[in-house]
Parts: sequence; structure tokens; C-alpha cells
Amino acid sequence: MNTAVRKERTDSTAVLVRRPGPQELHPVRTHRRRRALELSLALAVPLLLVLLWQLAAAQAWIDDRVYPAPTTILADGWDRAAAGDLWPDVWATLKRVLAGYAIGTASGYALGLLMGSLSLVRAALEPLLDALYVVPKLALLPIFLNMFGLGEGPQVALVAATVFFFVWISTMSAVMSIPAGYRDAGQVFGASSWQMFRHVLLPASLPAVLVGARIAAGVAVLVIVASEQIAAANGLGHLIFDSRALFQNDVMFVGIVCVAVLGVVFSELVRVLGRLLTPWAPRDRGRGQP
Amino acid sequence: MCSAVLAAGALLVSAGCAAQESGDGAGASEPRTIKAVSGCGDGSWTDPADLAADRAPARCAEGTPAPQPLTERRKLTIATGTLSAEYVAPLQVAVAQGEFKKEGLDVTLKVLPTPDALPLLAKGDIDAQWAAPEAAVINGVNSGFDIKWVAGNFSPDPKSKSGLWVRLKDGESASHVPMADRKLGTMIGKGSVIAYPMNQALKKHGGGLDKVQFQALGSADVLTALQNGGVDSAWLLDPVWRKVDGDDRYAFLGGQPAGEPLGGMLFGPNLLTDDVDAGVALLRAYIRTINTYFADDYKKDPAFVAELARLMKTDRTVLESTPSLLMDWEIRAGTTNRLQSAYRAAGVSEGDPLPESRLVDRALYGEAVGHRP
Amino acid sequence: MGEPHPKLQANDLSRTFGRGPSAVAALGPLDLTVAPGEFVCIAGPSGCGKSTLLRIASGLLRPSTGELAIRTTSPRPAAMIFQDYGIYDWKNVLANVRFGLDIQRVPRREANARARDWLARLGLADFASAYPATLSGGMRQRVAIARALAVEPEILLMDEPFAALDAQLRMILQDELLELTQTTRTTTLFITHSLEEAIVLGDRVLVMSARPGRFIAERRPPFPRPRSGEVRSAPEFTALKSELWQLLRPEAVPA
Repeated sequence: MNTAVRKERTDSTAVLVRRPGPQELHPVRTHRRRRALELSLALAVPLLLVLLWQLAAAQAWIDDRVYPAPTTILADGWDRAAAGDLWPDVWATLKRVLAGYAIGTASGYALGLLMGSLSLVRAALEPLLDALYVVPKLALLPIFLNMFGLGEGPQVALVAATVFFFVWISTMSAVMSIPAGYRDAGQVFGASSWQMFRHVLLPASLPAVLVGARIAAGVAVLVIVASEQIAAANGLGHLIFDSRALFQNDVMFVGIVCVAVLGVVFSELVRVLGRLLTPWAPRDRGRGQP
Repeated sequence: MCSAVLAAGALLVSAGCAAQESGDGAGASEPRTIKAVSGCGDGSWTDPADLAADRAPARCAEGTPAPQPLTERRKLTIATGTLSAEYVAPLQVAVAQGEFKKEGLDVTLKVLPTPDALPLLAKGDIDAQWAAPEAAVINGVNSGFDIKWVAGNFSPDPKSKSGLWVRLKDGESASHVPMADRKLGTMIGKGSVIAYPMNQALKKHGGGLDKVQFQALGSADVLTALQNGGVDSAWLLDPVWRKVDGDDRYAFLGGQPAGEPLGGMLFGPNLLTDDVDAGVALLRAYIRTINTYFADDYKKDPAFVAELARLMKTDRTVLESTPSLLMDWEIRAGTTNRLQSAYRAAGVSEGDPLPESRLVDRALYGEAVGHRP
Repeated sequence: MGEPHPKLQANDLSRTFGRGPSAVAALGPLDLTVAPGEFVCIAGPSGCGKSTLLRIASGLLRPSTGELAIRTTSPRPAAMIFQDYGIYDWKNVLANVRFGLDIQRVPRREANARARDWLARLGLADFASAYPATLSGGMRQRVAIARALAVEPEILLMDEPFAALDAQLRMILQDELLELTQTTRTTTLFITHSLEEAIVLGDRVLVMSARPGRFIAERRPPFPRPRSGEVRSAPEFTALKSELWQLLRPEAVPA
């Protein structure tokens, strides 16, 4: 929008004028430029930070023995990957995360659905689950070690337990906050319990459940790294802490970067899956301009 | 927006072109004047190349080398993994008897696990570490940090059977136990110096660090796992091995090599380059402590054993059940090479092996006993 | 009215919400008779309990006293149209209209055909695969009407269906509804707070009092069937509207 003040010469009274601005005169060009700016910012800012890190290491503003330069990390990671040393750890961590995530999501969704729709079940189980929700799951690792022995069991159980609570809570609250009008319509048309679930409860609660699932994805990766430090002989978390114990800082950073990438990729995958499952829901990455 | 791109490009170019500052390993060592020390004669220095198992360790007279207090009192921090193991006794006795104070040093012993202590030593936040040239230390020196092994700690009594024990399967005898693909339980990490004697013992019996499965266990669980079959073999420390000694079902395959200390004092940049005088003073006090209190079989004296039990907060019966350690402040030639090849076999160290000159410095304990190279 | 076989009959019907001292009498006691094919409009002030009456008729709520009987063999004879949150955001228009038929397990092909027929009648044929979020309010209510009529219900219950629409759209939809229901002759119970709407649409207009709602007047708009929206300009229309407003106004003034 553009405003200008123009003085009338004859009687010297000012006039306020509202004129078309660049967005109105050249809408296509303005929009394209704006999108280009957004995209380049999204790329440039992370890139700039990485370059700054590289510069700091090269100019010895930071001690590059303790904080290796990005190029060192990349080169080291590349060598390890090419030698086939990296993939077994990535795969080990990925397997645990996926297995735990699947179990946690399925059980959390089932219980959330049950408790959200049946108030008797909710009354019975909610106090117990609310209490367990705040127990740090990592503190339960020794219990899982006793239950499942060494091996994959405790790791998967820990991820599953963590994911369960996120998905359970978002499912239960999603089901409970389904507007009564939706249920009324189903009821008046004579829907059975299964029909009500399939046509109303499931789709109505899905967007909120997927938000919980996406958060849980990130947390699952977080938890597995911590648990692998304690109770695993392979995996990215084990790599990070093992290389720390062996004072191999560059390997440690390779592990950290890999875990970060894994977390981002997994989280985005869940988001994309969510988009596919809920084509009607509004996009949750709100861009400022339509 | 274009200017932002240009600025980013400029940064990239400068970052790529800037030469890496290569850290110069060894600190500038101007030649130091070494004076003879009374009380330390020919017996105070043995040839590092002498690897005989029955070599008598270097010794001076009691109370020597005499203290040479620094002009200014200096505070020092020494990190150690534990205060209750017997090999830490010389340091604790030194502190308790004021040997460091006599040198003008105000020494604090700080308990820190190696992964936490090592970065601090490398940065100069602590001055010394009572540990060993583990794989982590090798990796650190490889990364460009200034750390050196400057004094030994002990070698085991020949009568000791601390080391690799194995549960015999049917038809096996102590002279030959096929160790390939066996499970080995240990509380020690793969990067420990024990890897070297373990590798030697395993190789004698068809195994090797790369051929054996490791099971990390808590120290309480190691013996239990060996006895109930959870693992086939275990590295047992003093005095745990006493429990299976004499039992036909178990065989001892070997322990730490005689006459070759595998650990001791590590110095960081503070004492290697910044204040070498303090470093030498520290070692002088340590050596004097050995000569005065740990010169030979120190467990013969019940009063001293009681004093040790009090300092280490342990039971005197536990101390009396194992033979005295052979305290030895010297470092043998080639130890670090043998250690590095064991680390390579265990897969905890990468890259070319470092020459001994980058890992070991005998000049400091040499100066303390007045040995001219 | 001497109708021997009324479609819907309510006797001494009332409903109270809450317990003990905080209990609120929301509706009744009232009586109601609806003949088959009759379009009955109930007009009343906000909060008078007219929605409650509809919810009892639909089976969503039980009465506190009295009885409401519907002459039918089907367990679910009614279809309901709500003010909002009626149709489902996650189904496209066709699936929404087909919903009642899906519940009744009508084979998919037949259900689709019937649904498309109704979409055409309501001018929604081009929007069959659109999602409700992309539709305007008026379109959405059309979908809701199509959904209700697609199951060919014995009773149509409409709860202020046009209240959320602007005045122009409301008149257009009223005309459309007139045309539709005069063809299908479905027994209908229509709730509104607009007297004009009630008189245009209804065979009978019942005026409800403020809470607890009871019927305080009943009139038959003197317009023969089939009628169109033009009745709005008839002098009888205005007269009836004023008369009913005189009855309704004191109830509508906030206490």
C-alpha cells in the first residue's frame, strides 16, 4: 500500500492519497520475488551458520581439536560411510527407533481412543497413566534391563514407552474434543459403534493425533541415543559416547550429525505421512503469504 | 539480497583458503641443567631397553631425592579414576606425609573418570593425571593435544595371578585353551591398557582381541558371570582371583607382564611446557615416596598396612590377601608401541602408530634422580 | 386436530437439566401432534427449549416426563439437519451425502447414484469431489440438506439450519427448501427464531414461550400448496407476522 501527501498548490490544503503499490501493480512479479526471498533465506541462514563455524575453526577462534570444522566432520563421515563403518550403527539405531515407535504409536492410539470414547475406561485408567506420564522414562531403563535382559528388548521398550505417552495423550484429548455435533449426526443416522469409529472418531481425531506422533518421532530419537549410551554395544548413541570415552572428537561429531539428520528425516517422514492421511486438514507449516 | 549472497561467498572462500594452524606437538624444550642427586647412584636408573621379567626396579636411598622447594608455592591438581585402588597408594601417602608440601607444591587429588579428565588435562584445566596411556590418550595426542606419559606406576608381583582366567571346558587343560570366538567378561573398556596383556594371553591360546567377543560387565558381576557360565573367560583383578585360585575348573592364562609398568603419571601442557620445574618437583616427591615407603615388600610392616588401610578406606585383611606391588617409576622402551598394536587389534584406535617420542618423556624423572642422558 | 394416525405424537413432554437445587426446567410440559406429510414450524426466543424438543424427537435425548411417539417400523426414521458441525470435513461432498446410505449398508453403486441425484437437485453436481472446507456456508448447508434427504427419511428434523447464513442466502435456501419438500412431502419439524421463515415454510406455525418452552399459539399460514417465495409480499403474510410477533415479543424480551 502506498500513501503520499500531495500539496494542492491553489489553496494549500494537504491531501492524503491511497495508491496502488508494487503488490497491486505487479502481483505476479512481487509474489515470485517474495517466494524467492523466503526460499533463499531458508537455505542461506543455516548455510551461513555452518560457514561461520568453518571460519571459526580455520581461524582458530575455536579449538578445532575440541570442535572440529564442518569439513573435517564431513570428510570423516564420508570416509566412514565409504568404508561401510557407519551404516551398521545407523541401521541398528534405526531398527530400534522404528520398532519402538510402531509399538508405542499403536498402543498409544488404541488406548487413547478407548479412553477418549468410553468414560468408564477413562475413569479407571486415567489417574494411573497420568502418574506414569511424568516419570522420566530413562529412569525406567534399569527395570527394562531386568525384564528383558541385555539385547534389543530394553531399548525398544524404552522408545515404545516414551512414544506411547505422547500418542496416548494427544489421541485421548483429540477424541474427547470432537465436537458433539459430529457424533450427533452419526448417532441420528443410526451408526453402530464400529461405523461411528470409522466414519467419525478416527478421521476427526487424526490431525491432532498426527501432531502428537510427529513430536513423538523427535523424542524417540532423543531417547534412543541416551539409552544406547547405557545399554547397547552398537548404534549411533553408542558411537557418540564410545568415541567420547576414546577421546575421538571428530568421530563423536560425526555421530551427533548423523543423529540430528536421522531425527529430522524421521520427523519429516511422519509429517508427510500425516499429510497423505489427512488431505482435508489445513497445512500446519503456515507460510505468511497465501 | 544479492549483497548477502556475495558476503556468504566471500566467507566461504576465505574459510576454504585459510590454512589450518598446525599444532606443533612438542613444546619448546630448551636444554635443562641436570645436577647429580645425592642418594641416587647407579641403581637409580635402569636401561629402558631392559625388559627382563626379574629386573630390579630403580631405587634411591630412603628420603632421596631430597626436596628442592620451588621459589613460589604452586597449586596442582592431579586427577585419578579412584582413590581406593592399591596402585594409587603412593600418591595418597605422599600427600599424607607432606612430601609434596616439601617441594612447595599444594597438591589436590581429584577423582574423575578418564573420559572426563582427559579433555581437562588436554586443555590445561588440570595439571596431571594418574592413569595410563589408554587408547583415549593415544587418540588425543593424535588429534594434536600435548600430553605425555612421564612416569610409571607399578608392575605386578610375580606370584600374583591377577589377569585372564578361563573356565575350562571338557578335555581342555591349562596349557592349551582355544580362545577364538569365546566370550570374555570384563569391567574394563576396550580402550584400556589391559588390552595389551590380554592380547598377549589370548594370542598364546589361539585367540586375539579381534577374535573374541567382549561383554562389558560391572565389577561385581564379572566373577559371577564366569562362575555361572555367562561368559567363558574374565579378566580378574586383585583380590577377586583368589576366589577361583586352586579350583580345577578354572585356569589362569596370564596377566600383566612382569617388569613392565603399563601406567602412571600423565602430564598436560601445564607441566610439560609452561612450568617444567613444577613437573620435575612433582615427580621428585613421588619418587621419594616410593624410595621411603614402598621400596620393597611394604606389606611386611603391619603398622604400615594399617595406615594404608586407613588411607584407602579399605579392610586390612583385603590388603594382606595379595602380595605387595612392585612400585616402579620408570617406563620401558617399546611399551607404547606394544600398547598401540593391541589397541589396533581391539579396533579402538585408528591411523598410523605414534612414535614413542610423541607419547613418552623420560627426561623429567631422569632429572629428578640426576640422570644425565 | 382429529388426525387419526399422526406421524408424531408428544404427550405431556418435558425436560429438566441438572440435579438438585441447580436443576433447570428447559422444556414443557407440552403436547404436539404432527400429521404425515405436514411441515410444522416452531418459532420461539433463544433458549426456550426448541432444540431440546428436536433432540428428544431424534433420539439424542430422553424426556424427563411424558412420551413422544413416532408411527414407524424403522428404528431410525429421522434425519436431522443441524445449524453447524453437520457435515464432515474429512469426507468430500459426495461421501458426505452418501453417509446415511453407507450407514444403512446400501451397496456402493446404488448409494453413489442416489447421492449424485440429490447433488444435482441441490445444484452441487460440480462439487462432488470437493472438501467442505473449500465451500461457502450456503453450499455446506445444501450438502447437509442433501445428506438428510438422500436417506428418504420418514421424518425430517431441522434445527435452525439457516441461522448461520446471511439474509439473502437464507431467502434463497428457503425457496429451495420449499420446492424440495413440496415434492417429497416429508413430514418435517422445523425450528427457527425467524417468524418470517416459519410462515413461508410451514403448514402450521407454533409459537413457543420463553424457558421452559410451552406452546402459546398456533396458526396456519393461509397459503395453499404448492407455494413459492412470493408469498412474502402478500398482505396476509405481513398481517400474520405482526400478529405472531405481538405474541412472541414479550417472550423474547430478556427477563
